[in-house]
Amino acid sequence: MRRGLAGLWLVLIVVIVSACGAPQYTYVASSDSHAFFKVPGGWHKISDTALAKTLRGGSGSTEPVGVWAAGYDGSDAPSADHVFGAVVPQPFAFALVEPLSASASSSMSYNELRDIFLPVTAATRQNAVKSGFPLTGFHLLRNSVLTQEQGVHGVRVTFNYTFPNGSTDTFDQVAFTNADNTEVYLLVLHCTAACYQHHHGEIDTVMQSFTIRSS
Amino acid sequence: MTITPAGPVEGLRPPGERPRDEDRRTRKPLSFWDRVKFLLLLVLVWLVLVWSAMANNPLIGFADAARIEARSASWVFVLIALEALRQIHFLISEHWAAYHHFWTHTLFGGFERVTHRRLSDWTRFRIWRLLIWLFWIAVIAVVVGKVTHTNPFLALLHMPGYIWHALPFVFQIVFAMLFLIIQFAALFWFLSRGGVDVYMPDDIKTRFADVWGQDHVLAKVKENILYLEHPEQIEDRGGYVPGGILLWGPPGTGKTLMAEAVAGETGKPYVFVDPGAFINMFFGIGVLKVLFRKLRRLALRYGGVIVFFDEADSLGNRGALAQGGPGFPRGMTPAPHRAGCHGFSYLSQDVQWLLLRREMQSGIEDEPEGRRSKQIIGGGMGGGGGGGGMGTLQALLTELSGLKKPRGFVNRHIRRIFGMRPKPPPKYRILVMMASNMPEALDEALLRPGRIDRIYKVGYPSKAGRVKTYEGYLAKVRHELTPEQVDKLAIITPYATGATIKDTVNEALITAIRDGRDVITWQDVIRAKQLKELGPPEDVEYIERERHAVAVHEACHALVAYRTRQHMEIDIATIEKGSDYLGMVASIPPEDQFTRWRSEYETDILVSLAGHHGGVVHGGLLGHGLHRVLVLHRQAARGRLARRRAGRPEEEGPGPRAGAAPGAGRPDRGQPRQPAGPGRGSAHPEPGPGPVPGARAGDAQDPHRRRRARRAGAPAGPAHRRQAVRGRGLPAAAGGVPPERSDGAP
Repeated sequence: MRRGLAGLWLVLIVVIVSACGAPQYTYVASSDSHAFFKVPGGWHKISDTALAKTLRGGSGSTEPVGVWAAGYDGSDAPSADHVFGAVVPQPFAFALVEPLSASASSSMSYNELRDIFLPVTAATRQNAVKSGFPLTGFHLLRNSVLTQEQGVHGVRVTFNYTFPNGSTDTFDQVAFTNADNTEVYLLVLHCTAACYQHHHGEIDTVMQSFTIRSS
Repeated sequence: MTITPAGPVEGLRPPGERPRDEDRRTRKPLSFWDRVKFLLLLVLVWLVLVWSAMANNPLIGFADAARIEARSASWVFVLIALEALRQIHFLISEHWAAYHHFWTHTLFGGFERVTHRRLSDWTRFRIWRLLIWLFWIAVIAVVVGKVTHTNPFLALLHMPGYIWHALPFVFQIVFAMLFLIIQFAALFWFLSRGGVDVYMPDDIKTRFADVWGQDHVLAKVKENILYLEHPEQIEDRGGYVPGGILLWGPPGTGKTLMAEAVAGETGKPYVFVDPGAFINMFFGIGVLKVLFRKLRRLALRYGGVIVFFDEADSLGNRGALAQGGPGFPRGMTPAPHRAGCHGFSYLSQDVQWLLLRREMQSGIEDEPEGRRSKQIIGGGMGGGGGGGGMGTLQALLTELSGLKKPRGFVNRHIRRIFGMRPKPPPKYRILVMMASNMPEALDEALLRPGRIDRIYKVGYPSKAGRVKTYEGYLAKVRHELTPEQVDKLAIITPYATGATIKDTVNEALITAIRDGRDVITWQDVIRAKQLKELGPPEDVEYIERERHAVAVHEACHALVAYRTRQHMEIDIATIEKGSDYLGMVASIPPEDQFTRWRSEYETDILVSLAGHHGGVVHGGLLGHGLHRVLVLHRQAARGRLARRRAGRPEEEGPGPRAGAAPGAGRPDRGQPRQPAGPGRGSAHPEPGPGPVPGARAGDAQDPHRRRRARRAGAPAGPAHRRQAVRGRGLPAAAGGVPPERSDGAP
């Protein structure tokens, strides 16, 4: 009896102790599209409406973009503007899940995935320059192909761009598509190059955590 | 050598050692499992939530999942804290008497006392039901809130929407189920017979004043009503309210009416249970459960309810083994013994049982086929469980006993889970009334005190009762019958029940209307009575010689009957041909009588022989007078035999009527209002009268002669005797003498 009671108390203590404290990471999940990633616990979530407004270019529409979109800002003053903003002193993570049209699905390739957020491949960059793309100073830091379970495949590219104001930001981007190329999953994290260097380990954890469980 | 006292055998507790709960000053200690089971359960719940979080997100480790769930499912920790607090409270109660007393007697006990004092059973029942509803709604709201990731309040607001969206799916399931079930349900439904009818207090208009001719039973039933309406009168003195009444007796004597009157007088709901409810193929038990649930609700709502099981013998019994060996159900005596002095109660049970078996054997031989079949239905279920089949009887027994058991899922299970004793139910004021024509077919367990506390026989009404009944029904129509005629009518219809009296009056009314009158006359009533008892006359014309022969034959019967049957009066003398007779002379006893005398048998023989004599001497018509003589001799012999069985010499006084009379098939009439035989000796100390012709000198001592002498002084006189009518179907039962008929060939 006493031993049983002691065991019970032990279980209770373990439970209570393990439940104490804040979780180390914030776990972000899209249950519908089965996309998961985690960000450090101190990062702040950007509201869905603010994010949608920014992604739609300030058109005033708050309709969600894609199937799912989420933004997390490591800054103490989180803002949706940091998605495309220059001089982002703290890491900003932006995730998006979008369906692909039939034509886009048939033409989907790793290069398409690399160029999905900003022009990364040479051809796309040249076309972008011709069309007045403002960012310059492209510098590729990482280019790798990734595969996950259930035929999910994609690329991870890390590159620098210099904004017109002279600030250089580092963009870390992971883009996946499912086995039948019907959806594309994107996670972009960027901040100034100095910030990226400073938070390299943290950022790498976030990028590596991006997981797709395709249904 | 010293002997050390042996300790108790392991696993067994010496009798009387276990303390009563009410004697405990502290709370009964909980077992270890009871102390920790909820804590473990809640920890398990929390672990399941953590596991769920880990399963839903491949990135989450145990530590983070635990921390996340500690926040999102903080209610688990709240419950763990409450449960720990409860266990601490119990632990203190187990060791500190004053603390325990404060909680159980002062706080909760005081609350109980106040609520019982201020709120009625019904109000408390409704409040408790409301709380239970709120509890389950809250549980559902929390669950739906968790499922839909909203707070419980919003989930509750969205619930109609969820239900609406779920309806197609629900309909699909229901349709799939019904498609299979409906075929069987429809089959059973259409095969089922009867059911349960509920009459609310205002639906019943019958009052005690509407029940005529059963005053003695009514008085006892009223006593029950008093206790139903004022139970505290008996409960405050340590008694309990009798909860069940069995009314048994011949059909048409007003048993159902009496039950209706009880409901009408008390203003309580009246639930009529049709015998078909028991016979339903598969619904018997279900009907009973639903019925008693309804009864409990009605009893609480209206402060009482009356449930009437008509034809309760359809429940059957479970055979002889359940009857507890020799002896008969309380308050009843088997038919063969009813006419015995004290119901033969002075005989040992073995002898009673022996006599019963013998009587039953002979009874079965004489019994019509239909009745035998009926008994097989009632009693042949031995061990199989009740006439209703499928354990209906057992279910009824359980329900009747289960009225004092705690009920309700929350009360019985949820409270016990939390270490609280189930609350006893309120005192349901349910008066169970049963009616039966075959009380022997009822199971003894059904009749035991506690289920059926009182058993009353509703027999044929006495003359006074019949007078009252006639007056009651005649008051509803226009008539010109005088009180003397009504009294006479009661005399000439000795076995009339409420139903037959109502029928006779109605028939008289029809007769009057057919004759173009609105007012019933004496002749209408007599014609109605003859029509009911003898059937319509066959309007046939005798040939002259035949009419003469029949008239002489019946006249001889009538003459000798008039001269010798001092104990009876001629009810009808006719040569109008009926369906199975040419003429008839029937006699009836002018007053209720419960014994038979030897002189009656002898006069019966004389009256029978008179017809034969008349035929031989005057007309040559040979009826079956000789045959009747033989029959009557045999009946007289049976009467002597019955007296010898009872150890009583036939010369000592009147014998048991049923054993001696040919009318043993109607033994109810023979039930003495006061004990016959030796006990009756003080009232009739004279030995039985001798043969009439030779016993004229002893007329003064013959009670029949005394009665006749008394009646001779009545104004009606001979006319009264002539008008007295005896029915064709009743002779053996009523007067013990079949009417003398002329149905032989000339």
